[in-house]
Amino acid sequence: MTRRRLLWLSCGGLLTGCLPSSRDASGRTTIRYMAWGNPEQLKLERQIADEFEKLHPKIRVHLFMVPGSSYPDKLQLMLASRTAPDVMRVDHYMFPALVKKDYFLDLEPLIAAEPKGFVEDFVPTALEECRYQGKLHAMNVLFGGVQLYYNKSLFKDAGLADPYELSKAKKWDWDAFLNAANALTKREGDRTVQFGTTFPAFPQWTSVLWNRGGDVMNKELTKFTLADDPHAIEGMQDMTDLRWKHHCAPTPSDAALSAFTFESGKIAMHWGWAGETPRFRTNIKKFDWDITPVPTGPAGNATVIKGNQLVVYQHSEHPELAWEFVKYLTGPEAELILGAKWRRCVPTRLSVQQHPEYLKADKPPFHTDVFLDTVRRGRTLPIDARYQEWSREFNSATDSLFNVGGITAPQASRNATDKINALLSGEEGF
Amino acid sequence: MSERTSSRWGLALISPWLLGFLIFTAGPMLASLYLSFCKYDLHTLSFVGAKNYDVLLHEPRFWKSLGNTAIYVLFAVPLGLTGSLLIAVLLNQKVKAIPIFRTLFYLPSLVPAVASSLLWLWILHPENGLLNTGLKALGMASPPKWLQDPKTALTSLIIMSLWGIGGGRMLIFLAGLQGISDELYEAAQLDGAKGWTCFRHVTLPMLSPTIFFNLILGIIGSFQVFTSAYIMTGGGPEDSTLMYVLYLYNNAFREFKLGKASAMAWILFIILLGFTLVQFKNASKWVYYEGGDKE
Repeated sequence: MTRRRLLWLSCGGLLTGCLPSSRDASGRTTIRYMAWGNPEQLKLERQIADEFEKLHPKIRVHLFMVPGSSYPDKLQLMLASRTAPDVMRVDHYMFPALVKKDYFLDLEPLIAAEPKGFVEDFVPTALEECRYQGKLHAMNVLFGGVQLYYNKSLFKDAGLADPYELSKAKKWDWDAFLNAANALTKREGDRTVQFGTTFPAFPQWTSVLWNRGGDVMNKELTKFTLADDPHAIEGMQDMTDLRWKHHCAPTPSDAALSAFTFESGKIAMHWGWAGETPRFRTNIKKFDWDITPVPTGPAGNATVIKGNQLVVYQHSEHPELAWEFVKYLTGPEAELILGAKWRRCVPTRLSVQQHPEYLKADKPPFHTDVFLDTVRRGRTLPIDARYQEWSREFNSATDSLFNVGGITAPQASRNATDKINALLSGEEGF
Repeated sequence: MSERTSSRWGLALISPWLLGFLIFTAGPMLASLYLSFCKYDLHTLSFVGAKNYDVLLHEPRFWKSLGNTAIYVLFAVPLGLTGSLLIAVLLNQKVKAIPIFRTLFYLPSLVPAVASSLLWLWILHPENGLLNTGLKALGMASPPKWLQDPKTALTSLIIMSLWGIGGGRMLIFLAGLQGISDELYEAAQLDGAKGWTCFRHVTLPMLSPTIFFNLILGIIGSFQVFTSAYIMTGGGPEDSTLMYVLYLYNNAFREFKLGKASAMAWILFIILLGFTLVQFKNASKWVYYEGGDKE
C-alpha cells in the first residue's frame, strides 16, 4: 500500500467515524426525530418516544429539539444539505413550500399496507393539510382550531351573560362579542387597565371574514380578491375597529412586552389556538376561565383550523421504521396523551375524539365540546407554497391599518391586494 | 536561512489564516457572486443573468430599506463618533479614580447586542418605559411612542445605537489621545493657546488618523446594522425600520431567495467600497500623519 493510499484511507476512516451510526452495539437502529417547542413540549414528546421504544425494542428514537425561532432555517438547511433527520415536524405554514421540493416521502404506499379503515379514522380536514398532488405526504399532529378563551370571573363580576351559554343559544355573534368586549374594557383616568379582547395576528382571525361571506383569495389560491370583496372588507373594518374605534383591544404599544396577557387576568377574551391550553392551565391560578367558539356571522360559524405535519425524509435510510414512529405519534395512544391528558391538541382521530378519557375534563377548560366543534366548523387556511411571501406582503400592507391606525379598511385592502397580485403574477423566487 | 526557505516558512506559518480566509471568506464570496446571477432556493439552481439585480432596482422595498439605512448611517455615525470622542477626552483627564470611570463607560458595550436590544425594548416602552416615565415627569403630556410609531421608530434605533459610544471606538480614541505628545501642548500653551484652541489646533489634527479610521469602520458597521431592528421591531411599523441587511436576511432565510439576497450583498459591498474609496480620496484634505508627507 502506498503512503498516499494509506493517507486517503485514514481520511475516509476519520470522516465515516464522524458520521452518526444508525445502529448501536445492542443491534438497535436509531431514527432521528426533530421538532420544536418549549421544555414541556419536549418532555411530552420524549415521553411518547419512550413509550414507543418500549413497544419497539429494536428502535431507538433520537429526539432533538430546535428553538422555534430558528427552526425554519435549521430545517431548510438540513434538507438542502441532505442531513435531515428521518422524521420531522413541520408547521403547516411551511409544509406546502417544502413538499413541492420533493423533500418528503410519499406515504401512500406505506398507508396501503395498513389495515383497512386506517385513513377513515382521521378527520378529513386534518388529512387535507397533508396532501400534495392528491397524495398524503405527512400525518397531522398538534391539530387544533382557534377559539376564544374567556375569563369567566370577569364576565360574572360584570353581570354579563356567559359567552358559552350565548353560543349554545346561538346568540354569540359579532355584536354579542363586541358588546362583551366593550363592557369588559376598563379605564382609569386616561389609561386602560383591562381590555375586552386580545388582537390576534393574521391569519388567526380569518373566520371574521369567512363568517361574513368574504375571503382573502380565490379558491385556486392564484389571485388575491380581498379589495373587491365587500364582505371581507367589512370584516377587516370590524377587526380594526376593535383597536382604533372601540379601544377594547390593546394597541401594539399597550401590548408591548406582554403588558396585557390572558394569564394576567387583564384581558377578558383571548383568540387562541387549542395548543395554548397547557400554558394557561399551568399559569392561571387566580380566576375561572373556559372556552367558547369564535363569534358567528350572517354567512356562517366557521373557525380557523390548522395542524403541524409529521413527515418522513425522502432520503431516510429507514423509511419503514420512521413510518412506524409517525404512526405511533399520530396514533390513539399518543393522541390520548397529547389531547386528553395535556390538552395540547384536538385529536385527529375520530375514535379518540369520542374516547371517554378525552371527553371528561377535571380542570378548565371544561367545554371540551368547543374544541371538537372547531374541528366540525374548522376551515383550513389559504396556505400554499407562496404563503410565506404573500403573508409578508399582507402584514406590511395592513400594518398601517391594524397596528398604527389612520387609514381605512378599503385603502389597506386595495394596497394589500395590488401588492400581492403583483407578487403572485410575477415569477416565483424573485 | 536563505531567502527562499524563509519565505516558505512565512507561508507555512501564515497558512492557517490563509486557508481559513480562502475557505471561509474568499470562497463563499466568490460563490455568492455567482449565486447573485442565479435563482437559488437551496433546492434548485438556475442561471438567470442579471435578473436579481434588475428585480431589486425596481423594487420599492429595496429602496425603502436602503433609504432607512442611509438615514441611520447619516445620524448614527456622526453622533456616535462625536460621543465617543467626547467621552475619550473626558476619560483622558488626569483625575482620581479614572480607571473606574473608564470601566464604567466601557461596561455597556460588553452587553451582548441581543441583550441590550431587549433592555432597550423596556427603556423605550411607550407606557411604562424609563424614557417616557422620565419625559412625563418633566411635564411632557404625550411623549413619543418610539418603536411603535413609524415616525419615531428609526430615531429610536439611532438613539439606541449611541449605547455603544463608550466601547471599542472610544478606546481607540483614548489610545490616539494618549499618543499625542505633551510637547505639542506645551508649545501651544507658550504661544497663549487655551483649552478650545488647543483642542482645535493640536488635538484634532493629531487625532485625525484615528478619526478617519473610526469613521470608515463606523460607516461600514452602520450600513450593516441588523440586530437591533431584527430583535426590536422586525422592520416595522410600516417598514420604517426595515434595514438593508434585515431585508437581505428576510430574503435569504425567510423566503429562501438566496440569489436575490446574494445580489443585495454585492450591491452593499459596492456601496461600501465606493464610500471607502471616496473617503480615502478626501482624506488627504483633512487627515494629518505626523512625520508623513502631506500634500
